[in-house]
Amino acid sequence: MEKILVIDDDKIIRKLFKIALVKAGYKVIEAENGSDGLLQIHAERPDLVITDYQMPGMNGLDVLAEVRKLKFKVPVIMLTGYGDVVLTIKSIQQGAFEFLEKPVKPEVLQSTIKKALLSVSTSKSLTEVVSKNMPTEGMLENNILVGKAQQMKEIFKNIGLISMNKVNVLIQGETGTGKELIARLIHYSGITSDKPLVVVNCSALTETLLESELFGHVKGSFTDSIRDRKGKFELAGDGTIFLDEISEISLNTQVKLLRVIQELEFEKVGGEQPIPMKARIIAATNRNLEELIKQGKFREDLYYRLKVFTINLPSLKERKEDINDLVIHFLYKLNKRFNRNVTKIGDGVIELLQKHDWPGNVRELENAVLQAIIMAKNDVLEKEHIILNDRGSAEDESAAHVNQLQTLSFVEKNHIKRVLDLVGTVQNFV
Amino acid sequence: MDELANNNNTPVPDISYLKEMVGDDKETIKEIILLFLEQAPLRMKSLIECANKGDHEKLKTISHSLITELTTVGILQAVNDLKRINTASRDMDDLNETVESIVKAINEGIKGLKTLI
Repeated sequence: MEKILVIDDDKIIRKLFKIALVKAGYKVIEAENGSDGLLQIHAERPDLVITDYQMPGMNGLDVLAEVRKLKFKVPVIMLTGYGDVVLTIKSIQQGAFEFLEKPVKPEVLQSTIKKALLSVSTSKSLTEVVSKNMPTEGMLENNILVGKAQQMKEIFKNIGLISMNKVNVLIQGETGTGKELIARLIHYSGITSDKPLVVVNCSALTETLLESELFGHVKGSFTDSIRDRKGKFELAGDGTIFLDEISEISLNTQVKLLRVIQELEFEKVGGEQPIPMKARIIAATNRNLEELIKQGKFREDLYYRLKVFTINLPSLKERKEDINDLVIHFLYKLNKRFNRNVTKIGDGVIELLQKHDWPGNVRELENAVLQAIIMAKNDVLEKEHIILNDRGSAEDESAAHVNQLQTLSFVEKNHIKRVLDLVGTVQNFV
Repeated sequence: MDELANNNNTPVPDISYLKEMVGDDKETIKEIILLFLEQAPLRMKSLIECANKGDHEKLKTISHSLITELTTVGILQAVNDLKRINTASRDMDDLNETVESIVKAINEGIKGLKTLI
């Protein structure tokens, strides 16, 4: 029989809960204040704690904080008074399984208790997939290293070869497949590892600014250019310059870039002195450059200069066998970043994720895992916490729960949690 | 409070929440009501004292407990006023009148509860 500890200074509430819970088949122990409650937790090891917030001396949040320090896991349901929005937020921030506003409806109380106890038993029945001995920080940055799919293995082999030569590389792949990570991997795993890596997002700048950004400019070359400035090619030295979204540069800039690659030198905007170009160029695109060539939007000669070696990154849809490893990897990485401890994967989670088409690729998967981690009530990543983008889940009916009508309180609760997620510094929110 | 009245025309509190929580067992219901009757005088005394002193924080604490207790024993007339105290800012113009009205409703409710046990 599961044991529930009810902590409340109000005798009537304790009595009420005790009778209701005993009737539902639980063993109930009581405490009339937080300190007594903690003693009972140590002595009785309850399966669940239900505590009021407002108590003389130690309040519910203090109890929660102490419970969180324990080696054994006990879910805590916090009871809050009418209109205690701030406490509601604080309770969830500090790891309460659920907050309930008093007076609690019996069916809500019973279902919340069941969920809390189930979360504990689910957690106990699952093994930890995230160990404390995961790869080093440096490796972790390279999400792309997670991959057993054959296409990825081939890519890793090729990286082994090209990273030892300073050939230009063209990386092609859909948005979110990890093109920049591949570029970093090439740079840091070979002969350029101790040299600069300079990243330029070509789509983020206008033509004039991009040229100034790439080649630098001399003082007075245009309005507001009050001093000489080094460009990215110069800053890259004999390392790597990564030109992301190369398809977005204008035909004029393409001509200038081609010249740099051919002549291995360039001039600053407004300057005359040639500067040698020693860097390796890695370019990336999510568009079909051959198609753009046909349309006259991309120069063919530049294309061939850039694609000395080409890496075609598969979409996540094409490497679904990697999803399990990627989820484990993200759990480890995101737990650390967001101070969470979700170390287990619930039944059916990987199957659910594998049914999705992932139009946003690995980045979308990482976001889905992050959302689920934030929503997780304990150390288990549950199916119910996975929110999938409709665009990628047409064939997946089990994910359709996201479209079902939810109760207002459910929507409100999720909204609060998402806001907390967005503001980031949740601990300082209140 | 239930619109139906007993033989003495005292409104009978609506104890449906209590029944939902503990079931229909009369002894259990009686036990909870007796607990409330035992605590109620002290709660009312504290309410009045805090209102007189303008101790809004303590009033909030008492109203926090009373909201659940009164819902449990069905004295629902006072609950909305208590919620108002619980969420209102420090300066409530009609604080004393509100507390007076709460106390009156509790006293009425107590009479009704006594008919149930």
